[in-house]
Amino acid sequence: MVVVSNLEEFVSHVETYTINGKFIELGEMLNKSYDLLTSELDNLDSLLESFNLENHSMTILAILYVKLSSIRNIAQPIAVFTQLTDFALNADINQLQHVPETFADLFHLYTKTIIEIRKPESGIYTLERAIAKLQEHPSQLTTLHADFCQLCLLSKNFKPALPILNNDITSISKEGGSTFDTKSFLLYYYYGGMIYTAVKNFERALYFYEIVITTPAMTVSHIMLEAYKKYILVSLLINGKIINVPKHTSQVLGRFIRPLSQAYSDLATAYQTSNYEEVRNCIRRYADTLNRDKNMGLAKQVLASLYKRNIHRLTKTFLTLSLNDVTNRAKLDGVEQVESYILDMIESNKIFATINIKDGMVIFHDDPEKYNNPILLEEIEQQIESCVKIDKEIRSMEETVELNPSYIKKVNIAPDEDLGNQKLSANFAV
Amino acid sequence: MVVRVENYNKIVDELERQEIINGGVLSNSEYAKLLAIYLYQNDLLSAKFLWKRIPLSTKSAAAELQSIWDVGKAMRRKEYDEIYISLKFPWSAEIKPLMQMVEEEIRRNTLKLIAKSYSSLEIHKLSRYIGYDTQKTLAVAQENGWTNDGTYIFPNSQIMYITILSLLINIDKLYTLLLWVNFLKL
Repeated sequence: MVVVSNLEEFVSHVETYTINGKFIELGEMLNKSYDLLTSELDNLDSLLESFNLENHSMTILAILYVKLSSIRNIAQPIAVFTQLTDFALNADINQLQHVPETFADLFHLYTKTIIEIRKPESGIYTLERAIAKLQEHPSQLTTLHADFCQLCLLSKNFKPALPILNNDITSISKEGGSTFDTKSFLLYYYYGGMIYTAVKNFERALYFYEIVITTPAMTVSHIMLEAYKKYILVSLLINGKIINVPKHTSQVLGRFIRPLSQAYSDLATAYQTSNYEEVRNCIRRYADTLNRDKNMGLAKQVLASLYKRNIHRLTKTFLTLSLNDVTNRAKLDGVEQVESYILDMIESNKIFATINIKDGMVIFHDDPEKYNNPILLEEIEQQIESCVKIDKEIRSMEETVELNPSYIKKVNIAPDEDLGNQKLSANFAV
Repeated sequence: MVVRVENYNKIVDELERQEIINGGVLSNSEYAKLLAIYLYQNDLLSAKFLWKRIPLSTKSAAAELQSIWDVGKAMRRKEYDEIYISLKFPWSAEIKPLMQMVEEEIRRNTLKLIAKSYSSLEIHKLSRYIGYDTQKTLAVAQENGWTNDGTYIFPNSQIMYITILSLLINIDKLYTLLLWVNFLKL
């Protein structure tokens, strides 16, 4: 009897706080009720029935959190997942803003749980909705982004992640506390890079890995190390060499991370020789490392890209070549293979060439693009649009900085007030 | 069955959406449909990942699904003989029209690529590329205005390459241009 009255008391407290709109007090009370609710697992569903999402989102959040934490002791675990999806869709945003950490924690736990039961694909939609609920605007990064990308990766379903990844992040949500969880930040860009790598959007992948390795750091993060390895491989795929990392990269990279990724630097050196055998031997030599890092697939793509890069180089030097010459110079296994590579490259507009089988020749052409068609105009239009958008974004960020009290204070103590002000704002304008 | 390309994009979007809303699963026939449309769109990467995430139990229960993927696999490897052989599977009534379109689309794209890439090639090679016997191959070549000397075909890219650009520069475009100029002046 005592137990029932405890729950009754709980309900009446919730009602009182809710009616009076005392959400902060409600939050405090809910935090203290964790043990009570855990001891009442069997009664939680009937308890849920006395609440609705419109008025009691915070309370339902607390109950669902308890249910999910004790999922092993619950009669119908699947029902909890359905309740969570419903919650992500319909919870009241005004109440949630009092407890964003708990909301994020709930879905971190959810992600962890469905990964443990090997059903990552079942949570993509729920997480997508949860992110939308937590975000103030689409370009805001939340701690749930990394979880979402992890689910997409594990279930090999990348398309749902693209709309989210394609939004450039301009702000970071506050649910991770004043210092946003570093791990979650790095993981988002690392996983995002992996997703772009999988769908072969290598430019964007490289950009994501670059963000990971240029994040200010004092110590080595494993995520950074792995991102650097993939950065090298993707960089070889796009540029044929490791492109220089930006100046603002932390010293950690040169001092600790580079020595730890020797296999990859060696691969890059081998690639530079343009010698197929050498690259293949290098991959063989480091097969264990590459397999352990799960980068073998990417390394093989790097190897295959070398053929194409070698053929591409020929187009820069020669106007016509015999098919046999191409075979020898690109070190391929015969005319048939050359034909299929060239066809492939023509199809993807990498080169412009005509094969003449009768005479056994290949004729290389210049890019026939005359820059005078509507499709190109459309492309330019899109690029300009995105530039305009970025410009607006930077202006509004600059404004925020200029209005920031600590910035103003700093500017005002500058010896020459006007000069200092001008200098700083000039810096930001750049 | 006349469905426009844009409509296929819509069907793909809907099925992809449905998959995640359903918690990552589709029915057998939906999987088959989605996989076939990916092939039609030559989106082999999406097809590969879809195949990878279809549950094993579904795969082993549906021979047709496996056969659709056989076509996709051959497309990925560019094994033309294999593509046309796998397309000969006795498709169900539901999937058949789609797979016929896949076949036509592969042939159309291949012909386009050949016109772009070859000034001459062996007749038997062209026949392999498009999966037709010699007689039919020569007929297709003739339709496109390509000549032959009994051993070689001489594709003529000029004739195939009269592309009609559907995007017109209209008053809206002028307006956008105006906005840019305004932006740059600021």
